[in-house]
Amino acid sequence: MSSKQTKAKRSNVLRKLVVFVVSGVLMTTLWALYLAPTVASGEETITVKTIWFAGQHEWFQPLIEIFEKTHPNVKFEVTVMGVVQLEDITIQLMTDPEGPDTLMANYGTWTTVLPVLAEAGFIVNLDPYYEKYGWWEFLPEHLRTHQIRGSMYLFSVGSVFVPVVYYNKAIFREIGADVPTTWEEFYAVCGKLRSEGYEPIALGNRDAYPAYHIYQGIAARTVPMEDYEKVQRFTSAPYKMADYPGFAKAFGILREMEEKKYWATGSAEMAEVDAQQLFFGGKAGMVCSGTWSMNTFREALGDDLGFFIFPPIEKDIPASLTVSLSDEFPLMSSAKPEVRDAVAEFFDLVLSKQGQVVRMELGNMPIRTDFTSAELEKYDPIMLEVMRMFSSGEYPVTDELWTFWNIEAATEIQALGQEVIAGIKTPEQVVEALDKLATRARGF
Amino acid sequence: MTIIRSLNVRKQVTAYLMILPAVIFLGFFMFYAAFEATRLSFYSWYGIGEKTFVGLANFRELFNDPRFYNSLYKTGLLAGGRVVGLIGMGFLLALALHKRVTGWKVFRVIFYLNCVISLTVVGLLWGSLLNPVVGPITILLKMVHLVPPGWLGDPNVVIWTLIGIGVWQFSGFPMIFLYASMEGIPTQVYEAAALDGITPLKEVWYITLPLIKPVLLTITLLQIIFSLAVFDIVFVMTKGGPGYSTEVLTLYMYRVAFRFHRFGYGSCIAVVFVLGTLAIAYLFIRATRLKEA
Repeated sequence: MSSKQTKAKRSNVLRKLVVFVVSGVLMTTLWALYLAPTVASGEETITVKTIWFAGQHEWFQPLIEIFEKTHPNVKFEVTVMGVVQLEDITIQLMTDPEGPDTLMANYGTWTTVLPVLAEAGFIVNLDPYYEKYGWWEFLPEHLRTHQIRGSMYLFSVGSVFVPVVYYNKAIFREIGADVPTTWEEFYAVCGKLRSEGYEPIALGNRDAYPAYHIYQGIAARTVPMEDYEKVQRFTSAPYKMADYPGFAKAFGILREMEEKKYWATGSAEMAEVDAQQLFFGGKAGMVCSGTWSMNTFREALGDDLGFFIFPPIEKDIPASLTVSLSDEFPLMSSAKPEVRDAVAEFFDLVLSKQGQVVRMELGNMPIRTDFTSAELEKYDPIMLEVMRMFSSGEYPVTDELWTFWNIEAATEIQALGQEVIAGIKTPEQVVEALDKLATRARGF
Repeated sequence: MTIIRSLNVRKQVTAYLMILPAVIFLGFFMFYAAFEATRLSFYSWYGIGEKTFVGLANFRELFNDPRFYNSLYKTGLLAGGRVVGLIGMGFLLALALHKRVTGWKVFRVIFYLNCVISLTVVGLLWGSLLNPVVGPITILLKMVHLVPPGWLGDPNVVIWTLIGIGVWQFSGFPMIFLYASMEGIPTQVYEAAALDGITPLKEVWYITLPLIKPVLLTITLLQIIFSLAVFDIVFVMTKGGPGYSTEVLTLYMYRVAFRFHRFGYGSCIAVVFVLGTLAIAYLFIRATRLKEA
């Protein structure tokens, strides 16, 4: 080998060495830049795996963005699922070590499963966080009823959701109807709407749940509150619906309204969205829904949208507000303390005034009752009025009937409601069937 | 001799190797799953925690469960209606194609097309067609001063609506098989019968039907099995309602297992369902002498 060749070879090796060193330095720099934010703060990235119901995600997402800005070391991995879709696989998800750190649950459908999950350590006892962040101040009387063996295992992010009757002010003006204050007046308005060629109440009973909301609103007016809550909470079994005739009477009213043709024509085979279209299209005068759909209804009817709560039915039972907190309870299942802390801090943001304002801006009711009238006036007038009713103390407040029932009773009350409206079962048969379901399989 | 034997062994080994993936797949997803479901039917289990052995308690509960009998009845009604409708309609369509009605080639495709439409699409399609307010069928009936029945809302009508939709969608399936079978009948048979002056009805009864009998019976058996296991269209269109008027056994089983988390009881329903289906299939084969046919 000549010296020329040796020189060329050496130069080649040197060039390769330089390229190798420069590449190494470049890659190390890039890697350092990538890691800089977390290394600088001395923290590792915390990933929070979440699964939210589609409806809740709408207002969680802006809050996640706010949270991630103030907590650059926390990243949310969000999956959005339908309620039924998620419920079908919740047990598998909660017991999977690779499963989500937090996910949404419908309390009502989990009364039988949650205690087992809690006992087996698949869900986290949130008592320390409730104390640390002072969450007990929000609707404490409702929260306490959701405890499992004296402890909280659920974040309460629910709102003051109240079933209400929405009405079309223009139609009411046209037929000369006023907002009913008694049940007789309510029936008179229904009759007048029918005789004037309108569908009185748009009901999508193919979906079953709308009639259930109506039922529990009626039952809270045919059963004294004390008895209603005994059956609702099963504080000490056996409290049966059959022992209180008001429950069967409320089912009887559902059937009576069918016989009087107060539900829209074809309501049994109409989906809820189709029924709402009847109302939006000015074909139906009223629709029974709740404050949860206030935004959609306002968008459709604008200033013509009015609302009232069901008037009293029995003289000695006042109209009440039945609050539905049951479908907005995230659970936490993470085993990692740092993830738990991050999740709890996120939910503190959700419950803060800032978090609730995001919620209200999207047309949802808040959970906090400490907003002033001036603060609420910026939003839908219905929100202000419901919060006023809620805080006034004029109306007894309770949870929805099924909130603490076992999953079978809580699910089947909807199908049984359909049966009673269709005349397949009598109100007494339905009450008997529900009692059987509710008293069976409570716990394992 | 040794070479031939060695070739045979090699052939057999190759054959076994080729079916091995299918055997493993079926073994795991069918036989093991069936075995596990059967085992679970003797337990009480909610998806988490310990399984508790309860012996025959689930079966005792099942045979005293009025909802089980209701779903059994609804399954029988739905399956019976569907099988009669599908085979009847499939046969008529096949006959029409066999008789070369005008445009038969196009119809052959059109009639079969429904079978490949997604069930969700079918649900949406019929849901809007039968909409009690804006559905075209409702509007059409009202135009001729007829009151539309509660297609999906009247508990006495809804099951027939589901049968009708099933027949509309799947008639093409038996049609294709029956048509292929009819095409296999030698034309000389028809020609000889025509010489004897046979009427069209008698031709169908005495020639076509007997000659397609094996296929007809096989396709009927398949339709019985498919129809007993119907779940999707019920779930999409009625979710078992109104009330429980369309709650078939498969839907009840799904609810018990996946909504109520009673996996033991759900498995018990599954076991009874499978045994029932096998019994019906066996009785059908015996009664129709399908083996000999």
